[in-house]
Amino acid sequence: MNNTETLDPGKPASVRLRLTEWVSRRNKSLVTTTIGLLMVLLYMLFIPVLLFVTPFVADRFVPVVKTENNGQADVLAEKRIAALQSDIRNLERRIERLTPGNAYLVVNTTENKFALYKNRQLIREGMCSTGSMISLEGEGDQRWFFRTPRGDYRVQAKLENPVWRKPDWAFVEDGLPVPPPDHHSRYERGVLGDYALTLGDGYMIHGTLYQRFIGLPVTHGCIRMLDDDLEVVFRTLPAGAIVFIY
Amino acid sequence: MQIKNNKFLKRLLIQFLPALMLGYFLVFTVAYTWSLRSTLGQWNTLESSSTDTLTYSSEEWELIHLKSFLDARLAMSASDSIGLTINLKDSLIQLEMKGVVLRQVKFDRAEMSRFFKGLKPRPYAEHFSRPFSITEIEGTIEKNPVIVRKVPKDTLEAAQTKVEVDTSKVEFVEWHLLLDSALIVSVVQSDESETGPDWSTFRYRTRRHMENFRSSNYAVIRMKRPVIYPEITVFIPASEARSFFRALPPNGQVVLRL
Repeated sequence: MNNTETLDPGKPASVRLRLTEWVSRRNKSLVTTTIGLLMVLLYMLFIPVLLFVTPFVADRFVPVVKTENNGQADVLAEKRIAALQSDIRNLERRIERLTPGNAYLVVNTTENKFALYKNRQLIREGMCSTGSMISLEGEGDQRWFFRTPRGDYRVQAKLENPVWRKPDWAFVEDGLPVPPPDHHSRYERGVLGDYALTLGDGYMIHGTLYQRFIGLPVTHGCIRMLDDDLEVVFRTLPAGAIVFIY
Repeated sequence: MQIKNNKFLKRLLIQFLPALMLGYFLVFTVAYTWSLRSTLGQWNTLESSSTDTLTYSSEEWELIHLKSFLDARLAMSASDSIGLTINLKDSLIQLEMKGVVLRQVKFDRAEMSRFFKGLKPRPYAEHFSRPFSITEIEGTIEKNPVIVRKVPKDTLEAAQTKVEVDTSKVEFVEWHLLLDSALIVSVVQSDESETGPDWSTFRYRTRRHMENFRSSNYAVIRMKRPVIYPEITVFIPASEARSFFRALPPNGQVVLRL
């Protein structure tokens, strides 16, 4: 048989020739498909490579500073180390003094939790309710934003069996007409629990009838606590104690 | 004609464009590396325009780190607003106000650009002994999720429009701070969420990466130095990440210890 024979359209091809043709065509299409896939991959990965591979490669070329541990450090190193240690002790003392030694309260308005500290130790933590972040908007300039403000506040007064003097929004949000300032309907007993601690600007820490909502952001700005927690906070925090709200 | 067009298209797609892309990748990488080393050089230049030539032991290095950290914390305590402290040495991240630690979280994992390992001791002390100011803060969740409610006309409408608190929403928490327009601190939730990063996270990451991509490539094309922000990433639980993000004021301060 002649090894170099080619296909003649007028003549039936030998089996060996047809097989060779078929393998050759298949290899060609395999190579073309592979190249095609590689090209698609290249185009698709171009931007991710620039975004991630380049910074990684660049980072490898950053010269790292080495420290000297073979006793070949600067001759004045001992003096500098002693000075640094002294400075550090002073700084640590100053920072420690910034934390109140008496009782203080920390309130987390995102998770609706509180933590009570005394003598720099955590003595109680639990759930509370803080502002709902509702913006009540009426006509014109009528607008109330129910949010517990962040910052540090001082306990201004401590009240037992507090009476709630309802502000205008308490009527507006219920669709009720707003009564005159000293109207009897403005005063409600028993809704603030057994104790209240005022923080100024109308904000208070107090109890609630709606104990099942504790842990949810449902108030109009005040901080609500369960009865037990409220009693401990009331008995622990003196007037003038700091309340940190974040 | 068709055969000629096919050959041209093949040459374009298989030879010319890939060569162009490879060439651009090399140019971009060289420019990026040069910019990173140049930025490091700027950071290592002291305010007196001199360079740090002393030889330090690792003990002195540690003490410089600690002193810088305490100096910055004391400076931050003079501010009235809430600040963030990240201590990579002790793996602690905390919120502080007037020097009082409000919330402290220990993290297991953090990533830091190798850029920071190139800082010499005295320049490190110069940069890190003062708190950094937040110039940009952005995340996958709302900073202040406000619900708007209209004043009801009567009691019936008031009962119908009462807002119910939705506690079922699960969001993937990831946010970043740009500090003094010089470096980035990112916080990503460490706990695995059931659904994984959501659409909001995808949009946030795409926006961040594409903004970096656009600005750095635009600079390279215009033969300018791309601006590089070295980055630190900390992984903490989602609830803490959320609290920290919402507590930080837009122009707050951050103290870092590497």
